[in-house]
Amino acid sequence: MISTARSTVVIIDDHPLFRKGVRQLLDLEPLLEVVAEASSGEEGVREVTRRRPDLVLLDLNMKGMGGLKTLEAIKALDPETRVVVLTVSDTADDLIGTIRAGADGYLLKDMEPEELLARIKEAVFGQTVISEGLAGRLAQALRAEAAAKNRSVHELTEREREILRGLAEGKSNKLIARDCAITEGTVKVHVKNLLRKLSFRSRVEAAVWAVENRIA
Amino acid sequence: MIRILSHQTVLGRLGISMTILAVAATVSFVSLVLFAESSTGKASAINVAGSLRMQSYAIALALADNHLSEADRRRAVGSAVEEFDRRLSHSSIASTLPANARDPLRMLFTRVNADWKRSLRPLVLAVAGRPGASSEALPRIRIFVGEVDEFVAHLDETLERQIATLKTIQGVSLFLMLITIFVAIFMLHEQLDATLANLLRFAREVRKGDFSVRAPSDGGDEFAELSEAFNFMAEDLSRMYATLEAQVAQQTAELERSNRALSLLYASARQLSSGPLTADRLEQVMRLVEAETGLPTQVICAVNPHRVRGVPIAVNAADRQHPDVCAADDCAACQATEGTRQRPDPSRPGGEILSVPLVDGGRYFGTMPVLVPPGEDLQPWKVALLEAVGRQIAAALAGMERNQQERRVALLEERTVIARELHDSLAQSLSYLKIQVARLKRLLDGKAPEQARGVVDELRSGLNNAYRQLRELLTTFRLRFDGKGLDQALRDAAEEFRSRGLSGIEVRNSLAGIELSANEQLHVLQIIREALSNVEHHAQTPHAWVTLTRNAAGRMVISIEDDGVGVRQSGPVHHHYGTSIMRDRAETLGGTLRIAARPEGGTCVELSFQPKMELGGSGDAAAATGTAI
Repeated sequence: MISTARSTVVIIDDHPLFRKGVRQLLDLEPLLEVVAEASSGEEGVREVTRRRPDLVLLDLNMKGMGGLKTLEAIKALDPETRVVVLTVSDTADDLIGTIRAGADGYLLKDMEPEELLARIKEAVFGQTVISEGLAGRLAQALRAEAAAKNRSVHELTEREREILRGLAEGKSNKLIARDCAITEGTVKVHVKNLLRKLSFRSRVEAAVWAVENRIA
Repeated sequence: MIRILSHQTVLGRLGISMTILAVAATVSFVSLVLFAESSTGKASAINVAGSLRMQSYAIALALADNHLSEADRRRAVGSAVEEFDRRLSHSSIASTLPANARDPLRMLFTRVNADWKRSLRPLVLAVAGRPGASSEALPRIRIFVGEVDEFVAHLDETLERQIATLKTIQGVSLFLMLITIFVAIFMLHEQLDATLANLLRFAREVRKGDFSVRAPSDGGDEFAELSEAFNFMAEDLSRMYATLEAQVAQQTAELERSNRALSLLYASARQLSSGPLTADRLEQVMRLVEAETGLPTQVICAVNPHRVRGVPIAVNAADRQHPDVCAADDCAACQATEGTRQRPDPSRPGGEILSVPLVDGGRYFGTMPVLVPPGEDLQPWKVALLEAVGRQIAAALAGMERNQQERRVALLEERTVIARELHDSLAQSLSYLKIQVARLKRLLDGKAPEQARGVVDELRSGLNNAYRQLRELLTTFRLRFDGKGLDQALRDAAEEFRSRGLSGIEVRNSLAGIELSANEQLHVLQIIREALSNVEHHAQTPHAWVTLTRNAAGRMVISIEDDGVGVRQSGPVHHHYGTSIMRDRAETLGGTLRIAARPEGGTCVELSFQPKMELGGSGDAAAATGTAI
């Protein structure tokens, strides 16, 4: 893939009207190209398998194969596929559930369209994106869990802490690798280790926790 | 003898009679045998004695025979004397003679014997050889014959005397036997007949239920004993009978009491279960309790969580003549324990307050304090009855709570459905509109008015669409049963659609209305409304048929049919959001929704699902329609 090429996007949402709106919105951004729309989770997984897009916009509340299942299926297919949840639901359960399942972002459908577009662009470039206000809720949930699990940053090595700071800034592995002057593969290993040490299931969790505890 | 007999037992009397008979018979028999024996000897003795006389004459004849020679005469006399000797010493005479020497018979024989042996025999023998001896001896012989005669006569007399004695003995024996038999028969007849008749009469009286009769039990015989035994029996019977009657009376009273208790429990259960629980119903129950037990019952009090103050939930307004139970006591004392508690009433000396707990399934709901007036004997059955009523009230309260819980759950489910519908319709439309606004702004900034006009058109149609959705949602959300049943709600819906142009709606409801829970009823109604709405908007026909049935497997089958333009001509139904809502609802019910073209033209929407309730119950219906305290 050439670096100047447009980033490909697949929209998975069972509301035709909303799909149409999102496509029209993304069409405004020349760097993004909607390569497929799917009206159900099953169809979405098929399209992702076929198109290998840079970004998947996924609705949570769908009949049949739900958003969470679809997310898990896509991540099982290829963990590197970036998936951003785009939903109406702002409940903590949905938010934490999808972040744990490895979602790279969680955006609400009622965001200002311009803001939504900007976030989607950020997500394409490897940043973790979470709607305004939801980050606090995620942090709260993690805090409650942290109290129970007694997490401590002191368990991490200096390098791991550096990488955690990178995560907290929403940087992608590639960016972190460049900043630290190491290979992307090494960053991945470090991320895996620090997630295990802090018993997090996703990098977003780790990032939010780091911001919350002023480690970054 | 009769006196003696009359004091004897019957067996004794029979024994005595038999003994007498036996003795008499024995005496008679023995005397006969003795006589027979002695008379045999005596007859032969009389004969022999008689022959002595004849022999004496033979001697005299021999002496007087002058034709004989002297020698011959001597010989003839000699043989005659010899014969005489033989006869005199004949055993029959010896055996007849009594041993007693002073006996007259013996003395007579001794004289005959002595006279013969000492004087006559020697004389006869001496004179035999001499002529004219007869004249010498004959006077002597004559005297001797007289002696022999006397002896014979005496012997004869003895025999006759014996016969007379025998006759007497026989006669007396016979008489005695006859008398004894007669007396025995008479006494047995008299005693047995009278006593048996008495006992029989007595037994009949007892059988009739008269235990006061007594059989005469004087006298010492078996019948007296029997009568006495009968009397004891009658006494025992009468005592047992009296006890039995008392028991029957007591049990009748108990039965009556439990009957009353049952009727109270039935009446209170009816009050409590025939509709939603209200203060009015509880008041009715208190009145029932007061009427049945006679104990003033004024208030039913729920307990608050801190158990400090009770919360009166029902007051018996009819009870005005008694002092206020709440004024008499403080709440804490009333609610102190979860069991039945009886304690003195501080405001009335001698009176008491009975706190009847309202307990259901181990849960304490409150209490029903009952005034026990001074001097009232609070019987255990009353306490048990009050406790039973307390349990009923508690059960009703628990049921009410359950109903409220169910209603809350139903409400929550309904809210979820509403949220889902908002999410599926308006929220999507609004998001879409927002995006259009963003596009519009971008296009206006970029100075592209032609494209912007297109977006404005999108905005307008989007807004119209949102409005339509809003209207439909409002209709749906407004949909409530408001105390009506499903059937009424269906009829109202039909009327509503008729007024909107679906003039040919027919509703065929063969459900009783209790098969479905409130929630199920709501979903069914909304699916029907949605389907009718589709008919109204797309089918281009005024005819629609709504059918609700329950098939053999117990599944609900609800169909909405029309004879309109059909599925294909009316557009892609599967993507119409109303259809998806219907499918959603069918899924919530755990059933299936089938939309198909009717063979005879038009569309058929068929919903089928298994209702949660196996049997219809009033609980959920009450939850949907009831009002609480």
